[in-house]
Parts: sequence; structure tokens; C-alpha cells
Amino acid sequence: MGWLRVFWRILKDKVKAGYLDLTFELTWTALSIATVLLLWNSIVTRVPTGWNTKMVLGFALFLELYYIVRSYIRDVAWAIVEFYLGGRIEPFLKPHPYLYEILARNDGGYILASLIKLPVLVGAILLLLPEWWKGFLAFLLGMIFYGGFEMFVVGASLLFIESGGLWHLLYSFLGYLVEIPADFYKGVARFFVTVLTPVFFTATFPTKAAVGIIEGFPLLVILSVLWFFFGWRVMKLAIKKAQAYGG
Amino acid sequence: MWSRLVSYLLTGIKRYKTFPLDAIIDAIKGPTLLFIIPSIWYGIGAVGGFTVRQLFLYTAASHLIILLPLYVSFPVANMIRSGFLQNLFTKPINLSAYLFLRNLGGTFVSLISSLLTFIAIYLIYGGTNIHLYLLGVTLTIIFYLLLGQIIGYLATWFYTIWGFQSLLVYLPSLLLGGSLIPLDLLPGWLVNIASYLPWKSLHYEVAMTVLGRTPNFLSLLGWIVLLVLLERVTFRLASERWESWGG
Repeated sequence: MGWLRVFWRILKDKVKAGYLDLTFELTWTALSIATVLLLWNSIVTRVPTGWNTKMVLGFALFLELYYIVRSYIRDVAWAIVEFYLGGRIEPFLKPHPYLYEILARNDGGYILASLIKLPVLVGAILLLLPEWWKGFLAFLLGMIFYGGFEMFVVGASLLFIESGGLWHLLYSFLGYLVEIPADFYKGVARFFVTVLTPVFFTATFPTKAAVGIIEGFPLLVILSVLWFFFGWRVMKLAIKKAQAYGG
Repeated sequence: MWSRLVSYLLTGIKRYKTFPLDAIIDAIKGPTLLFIIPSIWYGIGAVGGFTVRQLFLYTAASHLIILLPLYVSFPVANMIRSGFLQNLFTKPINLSAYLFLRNLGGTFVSLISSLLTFIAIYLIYGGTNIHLYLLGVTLTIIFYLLLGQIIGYLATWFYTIWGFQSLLVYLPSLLLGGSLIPLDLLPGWLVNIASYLPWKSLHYEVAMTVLGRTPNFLSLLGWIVLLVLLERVTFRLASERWESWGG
């Protein structure tokens, strides 16, 4: 239970300083769900898109779930690289280095907000979407894809000296595109959001799976696994390069 | 005086000389998203009396504004925290003008590439009133730079400012500004609320000019005047605090 003690100690200290973050986080989440729901519901109730209000709400909930998980996946990816670069040894002096690192990187308010939001979002999905278990499996698959993409971003950023721009490019592409159900993209844009970025996997795929719509499942599994190993490979290359510099 | 203002602007543009990859990325990101995001209307189809062509043009015109990297609050906040801004007090410069023009210069490549892309879209899709649209975009850029500056000053009193930035820029632009979907397609009560707030003037009013609607930039000008006053007040209050820090 050592990890629980570490978790509690850091959380206690950080929450004291992070009450504003907590307020922002919860307000942001509520407004974000309302925005996605109002925007896309106004479209799906006017034209036949294959989507309905329930699906739009499911999409908004899975999107928030993705935002939470994404943050922690991102922390792990950066932590792995920074540990390997050798410049940071102090987390290894702690009993649970990765857990310590994740908590240290996040504001207490954010961690507490995640603990409040997670059960609410999961509960709402359970109540709302009939085949929720399929939705969660699809979400898990999506996060494998996202993990690969994240390792690719981190690794590729480290392979280039000017990492800031590349990092910004890859993340900001996602930031704007994930808020739109991927089914609405067509042609080249659809290929872009389904194969080259995890946009389709973040919320659209889990939502559709949770209402029983699963198309091209084997292909999606292959895509996720391929992205994961591709990302892992890029990250290993980055680590090797950094080690060669004596970092 | 003018040469001094131009030198402030060049200070911002010089970041591209230091980080050329940032220039390439800024040149790619905006134009790519300007084609991908409005393309959703080809997947959705005509809605609410708008044709697909009009919706594409509208979304490109309204989304251009949030694609511009006008998130200047973080650099301003970092300058305050690092003491850089306080050090500038000792120099014979107009600090507010310096920040405004430096931040504008920092967005130069993105601004030009996104505007050129939009002009191409405008010509292909047969828009109207480009001169009025460009005037509107200029006013919007002034608004967001001022708002970013004010949010940045809040770092004097608050540890985190990301929440102010998120809750005052991105979400309201989507929900109350119609930066993705024209406000005509959203619920009436929401449009009523939007009428009393600035985001409708910033996105919807400006974007609708390319579809032939005569714009009314008076309210936008009013909001800018209000922000100029607010910037003066927050700057004065913040600078009093910086002086007391002894920076």
C-alpha cells in the first residue's frame, strides 16, 4: 500500500495550492459537455447524419474521459523519456517513481478534479449507453492508439532540436479536430482523422460501439497496435539518440 | 516614434529567425486546418437554409480567427513570473505597446499563411466583401491580443491563468461566437444570450460578411474600447504590485 501513502501525501499538499485549478477544471468540463451537446445536437436534429441526441451526449462524455486519460498518458510518456535522458534522477529516489512523477507534474486541483469527474462520467455512460461495455473496450483500444501517438509526438519532438514547434503542431491539430464527431469528416479529411491521428478513436469510436455500431473492427485493432509499436519505436530512437549525446 | 513601434514588432518576428522550424510549422498548421475543419459540411450536407458552399466559406471565415495563435496570455504571464517584465520598467519603452506589438510579431507567419489560405478559399467559393471581412478580422485580432494581455497580467495575483484563457477564448467562441456552426442553427435562447456578449461580434458578425451580410462593427468597436480601458486599469494595478515586489 506504499503507493497509496505516496498518493495521499502529495495530493494533500497539492490540493491546498490548487483550489483554483479545481474550480476551473470542473467549470471547463461542464461547459465543454454543454458546448459539444448544444452544437452537434442542433445539427443532428436538423439533418439525417446517422447520429442522435443520445449519441451526441455519449460523444461529449467520452471526450471528457479522453481528456482525463490523455493527460496522464502524456505525463507517463514524458516521464519515461526524461528518466532515460539521465538528467532527472530524483524521482528514482522516491518509492514509486512513475506515480510520484505523474502527481508531481499535475496540480492538485487537476488530480482532485479527475477523481470527481471519473465516476460521474463513467456513471453517466453506464446509464445512458445500452452497450456501454463495448464502448469502454473501444475506448481502451483508442487509448492504445493514443499511447502510440503520444510516444510518437514525444519521441519525434526529441529527435528534432527545435522540439517546441513540432510538439505544438501535433497537439494543436488534435485540439481542434477531436471536438467534432469523426463521422462528419469525408474523403481525405476522414482518412486524416482516422488513420493519421487518434481523433476517430478518442470519442467517436467508443460512442458508436456503445450503441452497437461497430464497423471495420479488425482494421481498427490493427491500426491501434501498429500505432502503438510505431510510437514505441520512435521513442526508443529518441532515447538512443539522447544517450549517444551523453544526456 | 514609428521606428520604435516597428522595432517592437520586429522583436516578435525575430523568434522565427531563432526557431525556423516554428515558422514552417506555423505556415502548415493554419492552412491545413482551414481546409479540414470546414470540410465537415460535405459530410453533413446543407442545413437551415445554408448551402454546403456557404457553410464551408462561413466556417473557414469564422474559424480563421481562433486558428491564429492569439494566446498571448502565457508569454505575458511567463514574463511576469520570470521578472523579465519588471526589468523592462528600467527601459525607456511603452510597455503596453511593446507587449502588444511583440505578441503580434510572434504570430506573423501564422497570420500571413492563414490569411492567404483564406483568400484562396474565398476566391474558390465566391465570397463577397473581403475588405469588410479583413477589417473585421483586424478588429478581432486587436480584441484578442488585448484580452490575452489582460489575462496575462492576472498572473500577478493568480498562480494559474490557463482557466481564464480557456473559459474566455476557446469555449465561448464555439458556443456564443458561432466559430464552428453559424449561430442561426443554434437554439434561440442561446443566441439571445450571445447578443449581450462580445463573441458574437468577434466571429459570427465578421464571418457573415463574406456571405454578403452588411456588418455592424460598432459593438465590436465598443468592446475594444472597453478592453483598452480594462487593460489600462489592470496594467496599473499589476505594475503597482510589481513595484512593491521590488523587481
